[in-house]
Amino acid sequence: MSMTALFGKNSGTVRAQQNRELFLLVGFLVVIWAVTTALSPRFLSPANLSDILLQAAPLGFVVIGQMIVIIVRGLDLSVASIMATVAVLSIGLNDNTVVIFAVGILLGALIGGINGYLVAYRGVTPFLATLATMIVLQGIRFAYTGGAPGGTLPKTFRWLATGDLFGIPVALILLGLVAFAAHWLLEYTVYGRRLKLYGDNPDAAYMTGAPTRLLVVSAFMISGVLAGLAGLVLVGYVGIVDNWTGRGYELDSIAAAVIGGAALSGGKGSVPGVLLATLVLVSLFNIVVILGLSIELQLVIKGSLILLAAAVYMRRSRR
Amino acid sequence: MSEPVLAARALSKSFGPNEVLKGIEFDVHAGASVALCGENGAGKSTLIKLLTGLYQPTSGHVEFNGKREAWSSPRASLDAGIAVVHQEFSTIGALSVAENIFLDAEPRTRFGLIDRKALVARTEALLEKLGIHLSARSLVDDLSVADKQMVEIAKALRSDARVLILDEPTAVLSQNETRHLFKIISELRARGLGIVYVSHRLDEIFEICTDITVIKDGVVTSQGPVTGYTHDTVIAAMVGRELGNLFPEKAHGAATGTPMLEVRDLVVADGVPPVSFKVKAGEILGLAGLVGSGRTELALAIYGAEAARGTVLIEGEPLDYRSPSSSIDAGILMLTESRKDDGLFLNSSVARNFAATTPGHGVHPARVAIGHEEARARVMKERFGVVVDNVGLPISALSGGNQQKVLIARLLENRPKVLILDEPTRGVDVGAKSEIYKMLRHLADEGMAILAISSELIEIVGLCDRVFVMRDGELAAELMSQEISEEAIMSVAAAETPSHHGVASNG
Amino acid sequence: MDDVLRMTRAQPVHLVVLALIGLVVLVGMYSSDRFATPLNFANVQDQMVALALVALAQTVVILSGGIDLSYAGALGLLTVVFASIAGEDPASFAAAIAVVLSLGVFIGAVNGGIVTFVGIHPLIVTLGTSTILSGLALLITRQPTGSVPLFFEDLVYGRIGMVPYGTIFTLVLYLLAGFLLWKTRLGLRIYAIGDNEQAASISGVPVKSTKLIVYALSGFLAAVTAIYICGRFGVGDPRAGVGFDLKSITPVIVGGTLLAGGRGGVLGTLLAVIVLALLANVLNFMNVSSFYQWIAEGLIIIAAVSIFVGRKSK
Repeated sequence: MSMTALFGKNSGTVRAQQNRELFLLVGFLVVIWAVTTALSPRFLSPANLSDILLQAAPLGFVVIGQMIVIIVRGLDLSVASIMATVAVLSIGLNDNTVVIFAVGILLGALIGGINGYLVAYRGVTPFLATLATMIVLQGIRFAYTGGAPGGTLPKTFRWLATGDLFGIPVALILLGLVAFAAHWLLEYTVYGRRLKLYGDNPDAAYMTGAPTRLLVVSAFMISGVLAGLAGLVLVGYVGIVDNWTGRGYELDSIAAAVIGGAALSGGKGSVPGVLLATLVLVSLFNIVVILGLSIELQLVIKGSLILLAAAVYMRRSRR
Repeated sequence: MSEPVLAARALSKSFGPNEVLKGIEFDVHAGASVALCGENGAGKSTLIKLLTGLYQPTSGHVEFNGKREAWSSPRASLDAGIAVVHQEFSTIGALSVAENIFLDAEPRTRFGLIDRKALVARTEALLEKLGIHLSARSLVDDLSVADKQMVEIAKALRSDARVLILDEPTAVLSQNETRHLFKIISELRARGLGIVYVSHRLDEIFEICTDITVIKDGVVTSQGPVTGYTHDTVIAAMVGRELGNLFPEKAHGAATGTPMLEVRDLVVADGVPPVSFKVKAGEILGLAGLVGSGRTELALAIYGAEAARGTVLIEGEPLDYRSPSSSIDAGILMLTESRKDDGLFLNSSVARNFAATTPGHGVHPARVAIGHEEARARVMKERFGVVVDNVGLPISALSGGNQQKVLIARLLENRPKVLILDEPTRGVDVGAKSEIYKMLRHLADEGMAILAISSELIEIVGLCDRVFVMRDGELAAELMSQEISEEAIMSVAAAETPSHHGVASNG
Repeated sequence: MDDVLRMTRAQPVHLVVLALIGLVVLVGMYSSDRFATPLNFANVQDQMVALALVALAQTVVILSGGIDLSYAGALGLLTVVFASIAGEDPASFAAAIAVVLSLGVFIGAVNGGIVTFVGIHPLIVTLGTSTILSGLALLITRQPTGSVPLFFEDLVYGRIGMVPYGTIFTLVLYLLAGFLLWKTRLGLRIYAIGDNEQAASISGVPVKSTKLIVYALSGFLAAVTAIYICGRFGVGDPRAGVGFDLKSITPVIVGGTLLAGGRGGVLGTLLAVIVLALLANVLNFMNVSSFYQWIAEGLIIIAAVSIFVGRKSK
């Protein structure tokens, strides 16, 4: 990205505007890291940084899926429920890591497909469709486990979430692969172009020959698969299968997507943007701990950041 | 002559560097009815917005009852006595007729609560006075389009208006309903109201207006009593150039090409007879008719965007599965009526808008190479003369004419065999119009079959080789080269029809 | 008759909900002797009141075309504040009521202010404020804390026959809300902006101030709910609101109000709250675990929404 594209006569282009938003996020991240390091040098220690990244990983998966759903004017409130349900069911069914992941991915795709079907073919508002699946899934997994989830975590499974390969945590390598694939899909394929154009104007997308219903269903399926993966990674990280695995991730992922530049009105969002936003959120949580502040401040910071980011983007889009 | 009720004095309005209106002088006298004529984009709606306070003038001012006024909001002008019936409906479906008419001006009891009895009584009295037969308690959701229009008119006249501004009021009305509206207008004039009447239908203007003001490109080009005008002089003042300059020469004689598009027994809606016709290669076929005569529905059905029964054939091959994407694959491309609704991707760049039907065009079926869309768009920009600094800018930054050029260029990327164009020059300035006409004729000469829908009769007459006039969903008449004239089209399109839905028929 | 239907915003779907209520009661009577007892009916009502109050607030917001997800945080903070001020004597109790009601209105006004004047989607706004509010509540206390006067607890637990005072209070509020929507200019404005904001604006409806009032009203009702919850539990719990954000939406939707705004009313919400509470109660008697109740609730939402979608596309 050259400087002329940033500040020159082409500064009004759609891409230049999106790049400026990315730089804003990078700048913000650098500033809070710098301030925290000044206050507590412990922040920049490799152990702490790796901790931040590991914490960010499960949320990262979910956020990418959430963003893709938001791009097609949707919203996925069921991601946290999918995380827990996938984890509980696939680990409960088998103790082979490969089988667990295969079942998890299929299950995530299936649930996402149901969400997408309700939205695209039944005309149900995404908010309500995913709210309903969220509640139903909750019932199914509690009924399945009878309230107390079982199943043991295979060793290889733990390794996927906490181990490392050449010094890089495996979970991060996984996230990197997914992020790369998602970015490529969104920016360099016809499919990705159609997703974004659909979000910009669904009617025009239909008239220009886009398979609109399939686009919506596929977006929800991607979100379901990524949520399922996130559930497995999170369970591996924590070490326990829990019926409430991922609780709160639905709202956190929406928050990170919005902070990362996705707009609920659709058509807008980038993988680098939402990953940066995830990093910002997790860093801030970490900072609260490092500085020995009351842990509840995390909530206040998170809420303020959501409002601030939304307000900033709103002002920009009005100009 | 008496003092005008409402007047514009040297009124000008600019948006940034664009001067939309320049020194407009405009009078409405009590009991008079002034037609405001001009092409789309000439500045009529801007003038109305200035007269009613939705916009503030850049210079000049509005006079009401001889006094200089600067309205702070539409509410202020409404309270003073200027009532407007807008083109877009402002009725609320969830509320009743009475609640709509008196929205935010409901009669209240002394406790500040809505006086429901008085609300209904006053509504009934108002409707009675206007001769509108509607129940005050009906939900507006349940009304026909024409009845909603009547609610709009009643709403505008709920308080004692001195001036009534009607913006294209008959666009959605049947012949009978139009007659009823004219009766209401005459009665209002007799009571001393001044009327401003915006319409494209010259017949209507000559029937009910006393004066004419023609605006072209933001300037008043002609003004005077209606008796001093004929259809032709009004059109000349509106267009300001001979037809010959605007339109390219037509194909000579009847088109002899092979049939490209054939429509066989297409049933668009229940109760409408099946439609069959052919469009030949090299031919521009026009679909004329009033708004609501079924032109757009027919076009959408051919394109596969709306469900219909019947067969559509391309070069003799029937198309089985019908959807926009299968039509595109078969070589039918369509430009839709309303750019903003289902044409443009307003937040996306010019390049992406241009490449929307064919994102990976020419390189890979599923991948989009970096910069490929931009490179293609730059070529397109030169070829079609689109005025924009950078194809990466959002398309919302372009003028209507340039947006339309990008949309037409987008269709051509698919090498269409058949082009369906619904209002190809709506909201486009005259210069761009002429360029678009030339382009279409050129495409036809190269062997494309073109189906053009337009509400502007001049456009149909000037552009098309053959014309179907639609009425109530049927092809009511076919006009060949020499027979195509505004009079011939209007006499068919506006003929008295047996079907009318709405108020006048019950009364 | 027309007017009665319009006034109550009665819809055909309400008959379905009524039939469901009848069905659930029949099943309940069949499955347990203890179901059709005054004690049990009073219990059902006690469990219903808080949800009924929040759902009422949500109904008004959704009718105006918005949504309010801030109850999760707001209820926590409001109960904590109330219980920490209320003390034991009437004077501090009155002060607590005044403080909490004003705080509720303030929270709502902040939500409404950001929605109208900054232009952010209400979902994002109230998600943000909810997070902040629950953070603030937890900063004040991590454990349930404070107390309320005994006479207030007695009042909340008191009943006439099998009707708790809470039910009567709730019904009065529903009537008032219905009255507001039918008989006041504000009510018509709410429907107008919920149905078509632009058309309402052209017609001279003050869209911004109407929205502001709607969210403030929602905050006020949240405060009322918080006070009731304190009366039930005797303490202020920073987590009292958890789940209420999404739970408040279910009865609104099942009651026939469209999420898009402008259509529906409070009667449907009330009926839906009743059917949901009865259903939970009967399933308990049938020894069906709450797990299956969740499945049922989710399916009811889908069924309800599908019915309305079918009706709309007609």
